[in-house]
Amino acid sequence: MVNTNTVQLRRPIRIPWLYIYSVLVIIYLFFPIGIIVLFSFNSSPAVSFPIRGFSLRWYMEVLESPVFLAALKNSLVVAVFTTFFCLSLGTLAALALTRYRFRFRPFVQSLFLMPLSLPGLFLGISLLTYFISLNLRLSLGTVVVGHVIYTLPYFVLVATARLERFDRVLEEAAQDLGCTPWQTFWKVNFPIIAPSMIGAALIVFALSFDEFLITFFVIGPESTLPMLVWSMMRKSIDPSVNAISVVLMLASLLLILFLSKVVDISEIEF
Amino acid sequence: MSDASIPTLRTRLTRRPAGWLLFPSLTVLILFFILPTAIFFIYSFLTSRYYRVAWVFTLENYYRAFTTPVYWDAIFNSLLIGLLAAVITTLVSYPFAYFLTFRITRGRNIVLFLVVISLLGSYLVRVYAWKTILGREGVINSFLLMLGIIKEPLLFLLFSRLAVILTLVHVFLPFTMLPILSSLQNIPSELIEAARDLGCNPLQGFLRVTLPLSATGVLAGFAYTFILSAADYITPQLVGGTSGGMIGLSITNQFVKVGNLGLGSALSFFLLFLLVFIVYSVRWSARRAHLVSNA
Amino acid sequence: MSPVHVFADRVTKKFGEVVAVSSLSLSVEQGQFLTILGPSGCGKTTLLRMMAGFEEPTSGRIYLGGQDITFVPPHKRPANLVFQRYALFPHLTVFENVAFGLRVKKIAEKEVQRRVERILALVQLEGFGKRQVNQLSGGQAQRVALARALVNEPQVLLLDEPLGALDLKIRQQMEVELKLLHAELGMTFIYVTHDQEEAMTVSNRIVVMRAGQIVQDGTPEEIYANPASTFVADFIGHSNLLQATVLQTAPSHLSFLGGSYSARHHPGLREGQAVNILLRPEVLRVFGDAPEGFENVLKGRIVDATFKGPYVDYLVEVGEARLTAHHSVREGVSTFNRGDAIFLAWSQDDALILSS
Repeated sequence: MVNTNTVQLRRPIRIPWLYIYSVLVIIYLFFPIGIIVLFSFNSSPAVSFPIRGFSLRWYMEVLESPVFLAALKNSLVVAVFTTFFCLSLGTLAALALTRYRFRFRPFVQSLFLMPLSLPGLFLGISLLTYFISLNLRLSLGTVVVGHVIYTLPYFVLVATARLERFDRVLEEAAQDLGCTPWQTFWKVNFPIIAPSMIGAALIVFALSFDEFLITFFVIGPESTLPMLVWSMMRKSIDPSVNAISVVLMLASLLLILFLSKVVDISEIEF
Repeated sequence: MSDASIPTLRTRLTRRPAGWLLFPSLTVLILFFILPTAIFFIYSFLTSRYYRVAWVFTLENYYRAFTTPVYWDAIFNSLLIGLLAAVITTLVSYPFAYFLTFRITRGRNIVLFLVVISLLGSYLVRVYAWKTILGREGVINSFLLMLGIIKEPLLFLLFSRLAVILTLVHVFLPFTMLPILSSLQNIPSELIEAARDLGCNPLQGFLRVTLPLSATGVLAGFAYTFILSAADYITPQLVGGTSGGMIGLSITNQFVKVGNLGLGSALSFFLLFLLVFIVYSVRWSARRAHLVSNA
Repeated sequence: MSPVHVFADRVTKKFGEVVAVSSLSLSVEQGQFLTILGPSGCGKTTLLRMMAGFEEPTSGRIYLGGQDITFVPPHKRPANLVFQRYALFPHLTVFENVAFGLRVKKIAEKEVQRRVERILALVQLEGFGKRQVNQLSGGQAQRVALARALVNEPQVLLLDEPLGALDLKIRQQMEVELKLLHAELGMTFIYVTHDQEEAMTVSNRIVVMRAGQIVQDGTPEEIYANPASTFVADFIGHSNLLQATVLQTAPSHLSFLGGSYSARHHPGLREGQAVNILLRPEVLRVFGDAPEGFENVLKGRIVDATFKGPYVDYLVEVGEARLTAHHSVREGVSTFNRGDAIFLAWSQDDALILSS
């Protein structure tokens, strides 16, 4: 603090505490991830220092493992279906929520966001009991259902935030210039909102690809990548789990890189 | 407003499509969210054995949930860890979000990008990473042993509350950061300048203007982390060990190992009630302390 | 002469490579209503923000009441700023907004009540205390912003384009109110605007800025009557600016619009020099027949006439150029229509020579 009694004649010196602090936070966020990446290339099976040498052994093992490939395929299938359903349901819902005023709108809006604030444990178990009481067989299909419920709020949140900023005057301008409502949608609304919707869909894809807490309860005999990682983690040390982890994170990273090409990340609000 | 002058046209044009647009998603939500939750709730009043419920009404589940000390301990432990994790996560992310909003202009998108990466970087892997870092033969211990700083591995690192909280904070940090970030970004910088101009020192300006105007984001991030960490069942298993079990694991076991669906359901709703109660109490007291704007 | 109250001494502010304010010196007397006028990007807001304490000069000093305040943080300056878009706190009521500064200074609550009530009455907002700020109209919000600054009884009030967001009518009303308020309080006001009419209305001294420097400093009358440069002439009031060549220096004769005309004496002219001639629309007289008794008469044709109430604006085509002339509408004075051939006349002293 500055002393109140003396008039300040010189430019005060400021220490960039916040800057230093923020660098530390970034390090904290990425240190564990870095460790996993580091040890996935370690030639010794132990996840501890000293590092013996560089090796791609664990990656080779993983890539040749049929269990891994099956899980990867399942994860992709689930994520693709989840994204498809989420995109179609969510876009329509976001349109309804932003463009129309109807009686239960605040209620419907909070209903859409509710799964966001419920623990995955709760969503997973309630779906599990539901499927059991319906005598429904657990499968990748039930996983997709769980993932759609889990990701829909994220999608609706991002999509409504974008749509709310859409200037309706543009539509009126298009209609004034002779567009039918249908043409207006395809020529004006769609090109403007599409990047945001694709961005939201990519987030959904990444969330689904990585989802574990709900999947754990509603999956049948099949396995997804996070399920595989889980089963390997619980066994004693299996160093190829590091390699799988890296693959899992690399998939997310690629998605985000793609995402940042499509949309301005700072536009996505939560 | 100007819209008021043409109400008939607007409402006539707009009333009906809303229903059609909402129909598919609402159906899915009702079928796979509301109904399951309702049935799950009903389960808590039913007798169950071996993964099956009998449609016989009972209060036995709640009675057991309330009276068994093990569950009380687990619930208390979960709430404590959840609160600690949420408080720490909020305290850690706020200055960071503040820095990102007000102190840097160049490179902001890159930092934001890093946050989103860590957000989507696998939850499971991040929990696991902490296990490998803190473990008996883990990164920290082996590193310290290698340097000769310690002779014996530090055992308190893994399988402790500290490990659980460290991990939960790490996992939920980006999730808490984003709502705080967006609420801070919505504060016009003139408001903060106005406070300074009217005699606030930087701290007073922060307490009287910035904090109240970002409180919604803070509360959202806090609630999110609190609920999700208190009910987490993976972190305690991987890094928490046997010390101080968390209720999420007890609930999971009812469905996966024990098969007492009714008790698991009663415990879930008991936990949920407590979580919601605490979140609303925090929100209420923040409002009473005039930390949150009413507008 | 009142004592110098605010003094900027060779102040320079750079943002990276961009020079916003360039070695500018300015002294403001106690109780003056000074307007800093200039186009956007001329550095006027930066200068004001340095006075308020939100920017630090790259070099130079700023004094207030004899004290060096160059690096004093904003909250310790006895100056308050009225922000461009009001910057009212959305989480506080009108009363709480106005009381903000007093409460920060830990002034007794009773005193706070008294002073806020009084200042709200002064800006004609009695009974608005309990309102939320988002329920206010633009004009009301502006008054609250004003009250919020004035209630602290600052030594100097800084106003950053405070009326920019208001409708014309409310703006004109607020201009008069600001002037009356200034007369009543006797405080030093430093006002920044890009609107020359606003500047002329409110202040008793105008400083015209361009590219980080002061290009002219004077009363509104002086600046209007004797613009120091083509830039100022163009910026203040409507003007007809014509390129001309000096034919003869004393008395001044110049060639423009294909003829030779006389102008007010201007020192330091050379024969053959290229200059600008300023003819304000109100000095040009319009006649149907060639008038007597004027030094300068021009023939032209009316291409447009705009009725403005007390006068008509004629757009007159003279060769390649177009001149605007105000023509008073009084009884017994003839008016003209589009296409009419007319004569424009002006006296020698009304034509100003500006070196370009």
